[in-house]
Amino acid sequence: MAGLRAGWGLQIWALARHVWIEALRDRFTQALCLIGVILLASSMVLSRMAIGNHERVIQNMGFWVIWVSGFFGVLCLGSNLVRHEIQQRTIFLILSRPLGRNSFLLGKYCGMILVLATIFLILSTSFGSVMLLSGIRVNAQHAVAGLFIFSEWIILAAFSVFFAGFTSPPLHNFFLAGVAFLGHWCNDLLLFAQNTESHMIEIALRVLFLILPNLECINFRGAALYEDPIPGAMIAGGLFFTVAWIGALICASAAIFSSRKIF
Amino acid sequence: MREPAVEWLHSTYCIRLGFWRRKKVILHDLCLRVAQGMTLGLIGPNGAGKTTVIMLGAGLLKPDLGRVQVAGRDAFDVASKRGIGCLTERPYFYPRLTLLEWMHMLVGLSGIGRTEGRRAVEKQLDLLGLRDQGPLQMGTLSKGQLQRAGLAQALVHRPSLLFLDEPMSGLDPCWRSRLLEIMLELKRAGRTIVFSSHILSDVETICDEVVLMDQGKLRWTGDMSVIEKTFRMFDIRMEATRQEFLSELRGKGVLVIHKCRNTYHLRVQGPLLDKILALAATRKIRLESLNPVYADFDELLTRFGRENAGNSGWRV
Repeated sequence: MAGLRAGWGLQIWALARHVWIEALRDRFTQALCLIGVILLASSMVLSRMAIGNHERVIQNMGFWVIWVSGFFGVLCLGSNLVRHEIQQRTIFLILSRPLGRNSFLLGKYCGMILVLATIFLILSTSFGSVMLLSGIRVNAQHAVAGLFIFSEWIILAAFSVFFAGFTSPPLHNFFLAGVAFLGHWCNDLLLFAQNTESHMIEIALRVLFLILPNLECINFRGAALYEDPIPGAMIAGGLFFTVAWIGALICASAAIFSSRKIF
Repeated sequence: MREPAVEWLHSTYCIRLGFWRRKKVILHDLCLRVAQGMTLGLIGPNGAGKTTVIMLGAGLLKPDLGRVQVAGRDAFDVASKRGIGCLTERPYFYPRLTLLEWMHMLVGLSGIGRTEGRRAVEKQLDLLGLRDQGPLQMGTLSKGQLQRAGLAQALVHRPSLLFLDEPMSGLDPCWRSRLLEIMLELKRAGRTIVFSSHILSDVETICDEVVLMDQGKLRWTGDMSVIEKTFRMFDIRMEATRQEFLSELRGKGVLVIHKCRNTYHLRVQGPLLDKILALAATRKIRLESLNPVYADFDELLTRFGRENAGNSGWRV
């Protein structure tokens, strides 16, 4: 049994490693990192155009650039992740090996996390450098906010794997953008639901509130900006939120993909 | 009677097409059994269902009706795939991975350790003449090289059951003949091979049994030797040091397929054979090979298949 688990782990690693190598050699990933670094560096210039609060402009822009880069990374990596394999029929050579469809999905997801981790490392290092060069003190809140931006990326990556299992790339992108943006407006959706006079709209908004991940739960960018302390319970809650969503989405993706016709 | 290596038991496979997802049956109630150590050739026109048969056998698809079993186990089970090697029809690979990286990935997925895997990859790349291409990204390889890479990955883990979909596709004549030799070696080593091809002479060379398919149905199974062939022309490979010897043949039912320096690959009509032989006798040309070319399978299908459309069934 242990040997079987080790073999399974090696299979996941073999797939993930090669998703990572391929993505890093892709011009899109390289361009994404390069543009991210250029935008982060340009924040030093742009902040001087603001009247006061230079430090906040740099930090705000830095967090925004990192988040947007990750979002585009997930969008483009994920839309082709499964679909491309099916369309190009490369999936058949992989599935002809003693590897289940669930392991295939998991391997792809792990590969995506490796790619995102690399992008995150490059951008967060650049952001840290920009802050140090601008004389901004990097504190623990910055680290927590950065790590939860990465958590958000990997939740979106799990959504991407889920959508990629049954939709076309344009629909995948549409749904993923919907989750990413509405996820940050979840609290507003609830507020609209409470204030609306139409019963139907109220139900629709409440359903949306319930089925979408409330990404504001793991948004600590404001706390980092204003150096507010972040309670440990909130960090633990954020971690639980991340793990729960990823677990649920990967299980749902596996259930859909294992019964899907790929030819 | 030998144990079956793979069996399709009343297997039916459907796909859904269009906006309304209308059902289309692409394989109808296939009953077929391939004994261990046997080489089975699937022939038939495009859209006959050959690829679907191979994919069902390799456990890549699950039949909508019926079952497919590999050594008594459901072909879709992960455990059934341990002894299977598969080459799919179109050699689409990962353009930004090097050939070595891709081979090591597939070896890793087969559960082979790193040291053993490295040795196996080197051996297969040598066998298929791809050693120098190992460090190259797959997007830079030619179609023939990709096809050979596909074969290398199918053989690298020493499978006992091979599914090869159009293995000769995209290969030059030299590699086509080398691949036939490799397949004959595998056959002699007792491997079970199921492969599809449009080239009847290849099927005839290596197959113990042939399955003729059309429109998702098994039309006929049997030995190629029972098929009465219709002669079409001769396939000739020859060397001519001076081109003028060919001038009298030109334009009289001669088709030049390939020409490389002094070496020619021709197809000539029957009546011209005497002239060719006369040139060879006077040593003006050197004949390397001379083979008859028979009717293609569309004609065979018309003659054997549709006449016997109702005779599909078991054949061991």
